[in-house]
Amino acid sequence: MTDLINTSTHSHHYPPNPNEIAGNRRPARPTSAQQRSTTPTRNRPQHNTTVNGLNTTAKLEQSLLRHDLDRTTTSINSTKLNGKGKNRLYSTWTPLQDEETNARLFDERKQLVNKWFEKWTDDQRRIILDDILAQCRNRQLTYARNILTKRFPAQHQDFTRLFPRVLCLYIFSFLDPRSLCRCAQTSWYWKFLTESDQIWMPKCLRFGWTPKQSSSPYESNVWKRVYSFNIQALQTMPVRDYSLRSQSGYYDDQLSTHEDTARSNSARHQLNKSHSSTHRALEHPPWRANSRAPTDTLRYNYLDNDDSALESLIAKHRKYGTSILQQTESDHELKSATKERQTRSRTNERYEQNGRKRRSQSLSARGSPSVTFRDEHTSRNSNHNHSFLARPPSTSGIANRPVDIPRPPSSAQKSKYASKTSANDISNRTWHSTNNYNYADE
Amino acid sequence: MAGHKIKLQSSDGDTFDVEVEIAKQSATIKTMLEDLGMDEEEDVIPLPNVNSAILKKVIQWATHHKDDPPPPEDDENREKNTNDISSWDQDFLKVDQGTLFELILAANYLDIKGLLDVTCKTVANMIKGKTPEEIRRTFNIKNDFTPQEEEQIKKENEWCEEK
Amino acid sequence: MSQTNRHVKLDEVWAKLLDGINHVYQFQGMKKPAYMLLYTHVYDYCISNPNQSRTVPGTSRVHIGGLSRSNGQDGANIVGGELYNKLKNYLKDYLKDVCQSGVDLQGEGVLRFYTNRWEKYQFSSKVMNDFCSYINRHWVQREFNSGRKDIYEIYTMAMDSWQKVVFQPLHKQVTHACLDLIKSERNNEIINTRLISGVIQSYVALGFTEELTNSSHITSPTLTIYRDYFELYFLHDTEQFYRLEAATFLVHNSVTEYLKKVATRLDEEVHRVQSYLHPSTLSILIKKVEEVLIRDQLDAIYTEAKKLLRDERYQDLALLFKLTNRIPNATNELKKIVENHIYEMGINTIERVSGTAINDPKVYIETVIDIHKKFLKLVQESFNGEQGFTAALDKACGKFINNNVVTQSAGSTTKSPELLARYCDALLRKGSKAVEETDLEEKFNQIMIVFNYIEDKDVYQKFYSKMLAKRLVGQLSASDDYEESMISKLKQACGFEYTSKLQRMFQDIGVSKTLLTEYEKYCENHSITDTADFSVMVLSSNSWPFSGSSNFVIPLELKSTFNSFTEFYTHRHNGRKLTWLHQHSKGELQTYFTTQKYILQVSTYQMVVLLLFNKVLTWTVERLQDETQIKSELLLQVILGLLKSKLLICTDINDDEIDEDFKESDIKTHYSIRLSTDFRSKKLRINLNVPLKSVEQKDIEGVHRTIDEDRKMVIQAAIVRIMKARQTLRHALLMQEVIQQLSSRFRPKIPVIKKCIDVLIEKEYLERQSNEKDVLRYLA
Repeated sequence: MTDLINTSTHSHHYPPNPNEIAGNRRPARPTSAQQRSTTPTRNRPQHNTTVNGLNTTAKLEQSLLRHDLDRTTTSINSTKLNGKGKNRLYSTWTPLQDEETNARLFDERKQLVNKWFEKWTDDQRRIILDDILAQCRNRQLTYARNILTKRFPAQHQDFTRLFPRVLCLYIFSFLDPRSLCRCAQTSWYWKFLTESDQIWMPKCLRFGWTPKQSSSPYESNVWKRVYSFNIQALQTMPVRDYSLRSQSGYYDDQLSTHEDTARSNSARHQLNKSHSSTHRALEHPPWRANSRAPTDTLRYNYLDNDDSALESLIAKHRKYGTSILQQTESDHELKSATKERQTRSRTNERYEQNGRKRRSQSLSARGSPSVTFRDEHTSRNSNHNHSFLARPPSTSGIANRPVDIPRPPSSAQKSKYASKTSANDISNRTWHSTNNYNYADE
Repeated sequence: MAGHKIKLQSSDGDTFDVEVEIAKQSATIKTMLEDLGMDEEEDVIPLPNVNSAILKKVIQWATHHKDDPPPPEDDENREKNTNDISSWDQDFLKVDQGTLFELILAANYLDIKGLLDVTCKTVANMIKGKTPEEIRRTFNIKNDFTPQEEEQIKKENEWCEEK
Repeated sequence: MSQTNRHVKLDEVWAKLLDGINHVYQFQGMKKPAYMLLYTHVYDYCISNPNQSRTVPGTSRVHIGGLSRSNGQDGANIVGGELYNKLKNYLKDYLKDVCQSGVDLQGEGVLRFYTNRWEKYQFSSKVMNDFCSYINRHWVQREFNSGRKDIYEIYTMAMDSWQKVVFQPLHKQVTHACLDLIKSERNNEIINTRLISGVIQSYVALGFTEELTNSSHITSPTLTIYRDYFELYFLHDTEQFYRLEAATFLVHNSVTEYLKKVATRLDEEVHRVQSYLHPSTLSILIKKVEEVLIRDQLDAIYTEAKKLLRDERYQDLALLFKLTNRIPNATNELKKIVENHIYEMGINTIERVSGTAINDPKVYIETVIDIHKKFLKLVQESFNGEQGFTAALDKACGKFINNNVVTQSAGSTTKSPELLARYCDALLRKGSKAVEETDLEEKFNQIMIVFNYIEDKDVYQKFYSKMLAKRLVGQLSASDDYEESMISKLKQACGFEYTSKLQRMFQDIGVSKTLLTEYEKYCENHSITDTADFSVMVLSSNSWPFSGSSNFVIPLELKSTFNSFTEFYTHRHNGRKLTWLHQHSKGELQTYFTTQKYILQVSTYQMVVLLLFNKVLTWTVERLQDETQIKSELLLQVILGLLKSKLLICTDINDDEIDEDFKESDIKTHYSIRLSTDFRSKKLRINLNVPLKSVEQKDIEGVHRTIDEDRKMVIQAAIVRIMKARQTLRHALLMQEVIQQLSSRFRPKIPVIKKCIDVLIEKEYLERQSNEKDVLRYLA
């Protein structure tokens, strides 16, 4: 009954409606559907005042008018269909008798509301939601809450759908390469985000790695590939005399240490491990699970966030220099050695712009470990053995070794020495870092 | 100046009295106060993007950190460290994901670098050390790869796993 | 959904923002709530795209080689660019209107317009920048990182817009108006400097855009706009203005007046920069003004300097110096002028007093001291005690002290040290007038100043030791402390060696005193009683400038004393030879032949003569000589002195003949001399011991003569020292070394050095290298 009164007052305010009102007037208890559909109208007076407050009345009226006209035509049609005028007396909104018409009318109104809703501003939408929720009964509110919790679960929420991209990237920027790679395996959007250049470029530049051919400016995800290429090059490096040690049982020992010192930051471990990994390149290392999901999630690794580990690995490789990189890259080499130079300088320019600040700092400060390798058979053996002799001699089978094994001083010196001895071989130009830092050639 | 307060209003209409020095950890508020000056008249500053509960937490955080030195500029030369979250912050951030994410949004909106960093690091730590499937579960990510795609992508990223 | 939706959103947000932006740029106040809402609108707009990016993986997957990569430029999906452009266009339109309303203005009008609008615009832009700051953080940062150089933060973009839309068309008028205003101020009109400082501040703030190449920061302010569009013209104007002013002012005013004006002008310009220009202009501007006003007028300034020196207008000179000193190297000429002036003044002043000065050390030295004092004051007051001018003073003093009318008329350069030494002697002697201690100390210091200028320090040393010896032997020193103080000053100036002899002289006196007490004990022990009351000074012959004296027959009365002391001494110091210096000895006699008993203070010679009259009352001169064995010329002098004292009477001469003109040569050997038994005197104690003229004269000549000899020895010693160290050395270098080593004593003359070298070659200390005649070798 309240509805009737309401509508009449409304009709006063709402001239485009008379057709409908006339056609559908009829005393009837509004259904829940009806209730829903009436809501926009019921609330109009309130609505208008708010709108006035926002100074956009004119625009809004206009859009309302247009919709009303639309609706008027459909209403006329429906009146024609209903012909008899039987319902006119009673139902203001929804004819109850004709199921079909009823459904259609509801549908039309639903569409209308949706159309309006779409046009409204955020503020306006909030007001509507407030009003609707205020009218809802508990059952409906529970329903709404379920929808919401499904949409916005409190515990398990995909933040990439919640945040602007910049924020997502900022979060990912805190991640180490391995975590990023695992993220990339979860979904397309995560893959897209975690492979963006913005994240990988700094990681590469930190070591002076740059893509050597100028990729097209529209190509994305270049930097992750640069990074992975360089890492793989380091990992597959054959270290020729490891076989001597492979029988020593050293690795097993090494392994147990690993697990114990999973989070230890000792860079020396890192070094040793890199040997083991290269050494067992062909067979699976025993600790590597075959299962698709790695279980050893808390491993210490240079792909975690510790530059020093990777740096020392690079230094190590420089010492046991091999020419593997040249082989891998030989096709590029073949293309043209002279063009190479130009390309490099061009890429330099390009990244000059991108990495302006950080690069100039980082490279000049560290002298960029350029990935240039060379054979040094003569010195290798001695150096190599040396660095292992520096370990505490009784290592075998000690599982509960303290986490912080003091790093023998010689290894630090060694790596320093190693970085000095590496030279910028002309043949390795391909993988030169972009900076001009020159190591003194022995 | 000390003890001078301003009023912050959350999206749901609650007003909080906050010391200016604490509020200024928000770069947004800080620049606004610099631009418009500190009038005697008590304007209530509306923060339509932050609700009461979150604003309360933000103020709690800012109050605890009011004497901190300004956070250092990001050094892009080093991998970012996520292990340096103070124990107070760790306790403070023992909240459900929804709150954590809302805090991130609020920190971004109010431009509070310290809070943004610590919250983002917390999320990063939630990712670290997890398998892809675990990550999916943690964040309710819909796996939209086909099995073939998934295999292919796994291979692509194998270099990162230990051999 | 994305495209249209975003447009709708853009329009929506723009509609909301526009109101606020208009508000801001119409300089109406803004409340914090309104500000925060604007910020929120921008923020919401910027982060409003996650919905849309959610569609990326599904719809825009691009398959490449079987596997897909998500496409899409990183920046493309970041919202902000369109809003940024809208802001940019808004500002452009807004500024076009601004510019239009100012384009016809001139002079102060345009300045008022420009600064007013600029200040408001700047503030408005700051506010807009801040409530749009999320675009800066979010979109601009990304664009910039991905290499776009034409994207700035919003504030900078606003500055850029002003530079392009307002500054470019208006800067000529604005700069011109500024310069006009500055000119007015230079012409002593009062201007509104805030207008200029506003413009300058704007020019400086606009500077960033020029430097696109080096954009390490999104906004990096540089001064290019300020330099190119203001400073350049300003400096040009300044030069013209002051060139004209210098030319016109000097026509009607003295240079000193001009310099005063320059000083105030410089102050004004400094003040100008401080009050409304950019501080970087200060040095360039001042340099320019200095060039025009000082450097280009240096000739006139130098002429003025001479005049001011002549007129002793030291205050004006100080100003002149202060200004000239601003121009590099310009004071060199000034130093020369000062040096010449001091030298001339010194020479002239000494010439004026030369008549008395040549024989009056006090006049001479005090004149010199006065000149030095006066010009030291000049150097300190007018030239700030600057080192170069102190050097000029030293050079000038050195020149006129060692070579002037007095020294020339004396015929030797050694006159100055001699006079100085005599001046010292006068001060140190008993009864000198300047006895007050502070006064004396002050005088010593002045002496040392003059001493330092003297080239022939060895000459001074000779005279000084001679006079010191006399003071010591004759016990004429005013005070031992003064003597020591003076010696220590000399030691400070010239080193230990220079004063070692003087110090030894001092020691000898002390040693003699103890010796005497020991001698007295000796007499007691050996029961020697027949000695006279006797004191003695034993002086080492090395240190003392005394030559042995002519001997005589020691009278009986003194014989035992002499002998006992000689015995005592030779016993104590075996192998030492005592030489008695009678000419420096003296004694006292008491008259018994008179009713009143007189005490006569006499020299030993006089004593010897007088004691003879104990035997006989009358002697002929000849007999006196026989008895005493004193050289006749000396004896005659002694007799003459005694005659004059009326103690002796010559029977062959009338009393009245003995007057001032009476000479010893007038005394003939056959004259007989007798004791005046009726001798009378008013004083009971009579000093007959006046220095013998001939001795004194000979002393001075002796000093001059020995100096040359001594110098030769010193030079030779120096040569040997040097050659010992070097073994071989070129001739010219050796000369140089010698001169350098000895310059603290005297200035050796080159021919003398050459002669000394030859002597040493002869003595086979040195040889000429056989192949190279130029090179000398030391022979061990």
